[in-house]
Amino acid sequence: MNNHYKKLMRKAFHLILGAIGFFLFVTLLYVIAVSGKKPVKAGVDIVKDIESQNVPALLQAIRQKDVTEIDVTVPTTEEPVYSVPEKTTEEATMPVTVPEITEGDVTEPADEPATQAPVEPTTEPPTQAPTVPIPTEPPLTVKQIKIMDFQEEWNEKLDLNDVRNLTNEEQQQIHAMFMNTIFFGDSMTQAIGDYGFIDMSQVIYKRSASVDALIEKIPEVAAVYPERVVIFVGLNNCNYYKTPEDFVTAFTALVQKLREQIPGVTLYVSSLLPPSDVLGSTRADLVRAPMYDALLNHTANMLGVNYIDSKWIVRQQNYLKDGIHMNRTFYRVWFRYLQLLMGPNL
Amino acid sequence: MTDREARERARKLRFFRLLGIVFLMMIFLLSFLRLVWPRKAYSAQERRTLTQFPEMTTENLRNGTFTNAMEDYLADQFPARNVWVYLDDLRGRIMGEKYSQGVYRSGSSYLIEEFKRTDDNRAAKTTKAVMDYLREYPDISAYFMLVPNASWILKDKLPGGAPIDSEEDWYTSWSQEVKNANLSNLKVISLAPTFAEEAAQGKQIYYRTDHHWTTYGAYVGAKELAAQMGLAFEEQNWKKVEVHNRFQGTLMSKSGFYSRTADTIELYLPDPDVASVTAYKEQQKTLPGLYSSEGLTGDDPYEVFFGGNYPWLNISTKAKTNRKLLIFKDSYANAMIGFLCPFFSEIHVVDPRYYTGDIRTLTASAGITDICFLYNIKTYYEDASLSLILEGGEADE
Repeated sequence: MNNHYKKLMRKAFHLILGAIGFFLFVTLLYVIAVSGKKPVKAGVDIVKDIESQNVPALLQAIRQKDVTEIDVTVPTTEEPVYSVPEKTTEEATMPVTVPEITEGDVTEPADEPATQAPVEPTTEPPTQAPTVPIPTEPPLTVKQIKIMDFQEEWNEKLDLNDVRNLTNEEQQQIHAMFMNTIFFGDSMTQAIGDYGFIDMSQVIYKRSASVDALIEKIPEVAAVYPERVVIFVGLNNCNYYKTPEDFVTAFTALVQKLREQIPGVTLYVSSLLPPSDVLGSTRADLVRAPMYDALLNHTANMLGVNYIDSKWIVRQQNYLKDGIHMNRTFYRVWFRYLQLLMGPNL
Repeated sequence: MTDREARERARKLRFFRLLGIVFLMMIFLLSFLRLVWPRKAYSAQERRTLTQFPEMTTENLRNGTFTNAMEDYLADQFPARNVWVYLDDLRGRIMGEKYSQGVYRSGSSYLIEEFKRTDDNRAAKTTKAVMDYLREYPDISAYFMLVPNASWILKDKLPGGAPIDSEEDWYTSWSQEVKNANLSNLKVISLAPTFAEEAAQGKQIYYRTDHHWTTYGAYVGAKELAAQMGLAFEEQNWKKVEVHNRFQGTLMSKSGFYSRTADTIELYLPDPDVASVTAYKEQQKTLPGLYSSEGLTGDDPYEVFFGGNYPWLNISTKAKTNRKLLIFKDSYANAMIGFLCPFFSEIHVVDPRYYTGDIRTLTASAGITDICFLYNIKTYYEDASLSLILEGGEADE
């Protein structure tokens, strides 16, 4: 009986082996059937050749053609001539009084950029630096008048809290204008996409990021090869950077890296907005916000980055509950202002 | 007599015992293999993600999703699954099977996907949405090209009496619908007569093992489209480049009809080169040219065109024109867009199956001068996403 079972087991084992053998044979057939699915080497090389073309050079050739051979309505040459002159006229209407007060008790940082500034721009290719004039002469240009008119009109609407949403037409104009622009920053920038003013594909952000953290995101911006980058950062930087010098250094590095990795890019930076009055009275670290903003303005001017003063749009009722972020109303005006400053109408 | 009977019974008993033992061994062997076999997330052969071990919760158990998912999981993660599928194909071949998973095996090594008129209303709804959308832009020239599939052009190659529906019949009724819409700015390009001619001359318009058209097919299509668009297409030279000659496509994966049948993928590059750059808008990447070596060397070499399907591409070219084209498309168009690059300064390519933005904002803001709807008939008929993005017009923030 025992022997009998042994025999049976052996037979079963053979059968199984046979089955496995058959299966291996089928596997072999299968491998033959699907083998050799390799693309042609020469073809792959040609595709790789196409892929290895230099995007900035291609884009330059393509965009140049746009300017020289065809009438395209959006000119790419920008003349950054804002933010500095209006300040004096604004300050009367502005609810936020900026640097003077804080500069009084922190004197060192105020000179800081001045000492640093001559060092930085020398390493910088002075492509745009000389184009930033500091017009103190009294006769106002058409641009300045346009900007003043705009601010007057919208200051009034903001005070009355009567800011209508963007019309379809305005939305389309903004969409068209910023097709080759990336909005880059922290949660202040995220709101642009979240509120739907701009397609999310134009927005690259990192929440509660310092300028240092944004530097790490630059390759993502560079992958798009945008013509323009608008930087919009918030109060994270006030508690991240213990000293104003650190902030200036970080921002300078950000600008340099952006220009390094995206040749020919035009940079814009929006004001670092102050916290709401309620929050500002409780958080000592945020008191420095206006000073940091003044530094941002100064550094941007030194580096040839277009500083967009947007503090005049701030109203206390337009803060979100956290006292840091702004609601849609702010961005509605902000975008119209951007459209005026960056658009072809100026 | 009794002795022989007893021996006979003993032999039978032995046989049944043997059967039982083999059966048990099989079960244990396979269960053991199942335990140790590495889990796969994706099947290159079938080009789909495989089911993973389902999550067990009381909710899942109660409503039966767990057990359903478990079944899928066991089938998908079966040891050496591909070989079993191949074995089944061998069996089918011996049995003379010609149909599997919606794909017919034809005598001349062509795999042909069936066309079924399941829901005419869906397609009618899409057509209506397209017409309504185009009516809003009377100044933009519009083109509508539905590419016939192999089941129409190569219907002679189908097994006799294959129970498929006629694409031609549907196309005729669709043409009537479009004609009734009476849009002055719309031109319809019918490819079937040209394709039938080309096929009769022995030109290969479709891949044998893939549901797409060949680059030659796309070339013929582009020529017809260009004639309607008024482009100087005939003056353009193309350099043919063979990039793959062992291409086995999705129809083989889908049907499990394995064979050594292979196709050649060609690229037609404009001869005096036209610089172009493709911005993958939602991926936030800008890459040179239109082709992807990663796609070419990957599981689906047809992805050499753009590396696959993306929601929204913006191609800028060095073409000396200010015409800007907006294409609504499926994967058929990927092979054809290259032919249009020398004639448009910008091409926006929207794949409605993945696009989530507002199409009217895009149309109005991108300075579009030409709109083209480019689908193969089967996808156009079966897909509901086009009508969805065209109807969701009233964007309110």
